[in-house]
Amino acid sequence: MGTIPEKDLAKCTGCGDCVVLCPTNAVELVKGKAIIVRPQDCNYCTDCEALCPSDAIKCFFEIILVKSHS
Amino acid sequence: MRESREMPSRVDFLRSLLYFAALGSEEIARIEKEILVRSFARGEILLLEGEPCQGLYIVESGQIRVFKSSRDGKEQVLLIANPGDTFNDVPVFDGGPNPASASAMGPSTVCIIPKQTVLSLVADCPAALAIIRLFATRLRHLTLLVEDLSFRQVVSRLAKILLELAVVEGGSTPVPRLTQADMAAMVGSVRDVIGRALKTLENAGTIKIEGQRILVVDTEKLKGII
Ligand code: SF4
Ligand code: SF4
Repeated sequence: MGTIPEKDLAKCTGCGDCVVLCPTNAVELVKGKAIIVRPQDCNYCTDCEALCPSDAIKCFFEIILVKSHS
Repeated sequence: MRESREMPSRVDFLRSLLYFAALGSEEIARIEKEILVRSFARGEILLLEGEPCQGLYIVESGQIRVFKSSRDGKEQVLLIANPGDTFNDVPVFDGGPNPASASAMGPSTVCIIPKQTVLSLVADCPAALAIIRLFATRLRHLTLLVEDLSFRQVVSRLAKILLELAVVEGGSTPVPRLTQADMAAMVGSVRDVIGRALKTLENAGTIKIEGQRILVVDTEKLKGII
C-alpha cells in the first residue's frame, strides 16, 4: 500500500480544487474524477483532504509504537 | 465580490445585535446608511491579518472562517462566525492591524461598519473611548494568551491519545488508522489545529511522521507532555 490519500470517487464531484491546489501536482482529473496520477510525487501533506468540499478524500495515519531499545 | 448598499430590513437586523442594543432609531438609521454590504463566494478572502482595519464585520448570512496563518503557511482557525456574529472588533478600538484573516466558507454576505462610524458612537465621550481602547488592547493580548493555552491543551490531549492507541506493528492488535479529523473529534478540536499539534509533538522529539505513519518514538517524553 503506497502512501497516498484514499479517494471516494463516488463522492468526488470533479470540482478540480485538489488538482489546482496540490503542491506537488500529483492529482489530475480523469473522466471528471480526481485521480492521483503521480503517486510517487505525493508527499502526504493532506492539503487535498482539508480542501475537498465533498469530503471525498481521506488521509489516514497509522499510529505505530516503536519499541525503544533501552 | 459584489457591492451593494442598504436594505430596509437591515435596520431590524442591526437592532437585534448586542452591539447596537442601546442605540436609538436615529443612530441605527445613521449606521445603516454608512454600512457597506458585501457578498463573497466560497473561499474568497474578506480581510487579511496584519492589514489596516477597515471596520467591524457582521455576518448577515453564510459562514465566515476567521484564521491566522502560521510561519509554515498553515492556517489556524480561531472562529467560525455565523449570522449575527461580529469579528474584527479589536482593531476597530485599539487602532492596531487586523489580528486575523477571514474567508467565506460558502456564499456569504457581511455588513462592514466603517471604523470611524463605530468610533463616532462614543465620540462625545472621550473617557469612554479611552477605556474601550485600553480594554481592546488587553483583549488582543488575552486572546493571544488563550490561543496559546488552548493549543497546549490540544497538544497534551493528543499526546495522551497517541500513547493509548499506539501499537507495535506486526503484533496481534491491528494498527489503528485515524484521519486528522478523527483525532480532532477525539480531543475536541478542529482538523487544522491537529496538524499543528502533530508538528509540535514531532518537534519535541516524541513522535516521527513518515508519510502516513505516526511513529511514537519516545513514550516517556510523550507522557511528560500530558
Ligand atoms: S476536491 Fe474533492 S470533489 Fe473536487 S475534484 Fe478533488 S476529490 Fe473531487
Ligand atoms: S496529500 Fe498533498 S501531495 Fe498528496 S495528493 Fe493530496 S495535496 Fe497532493
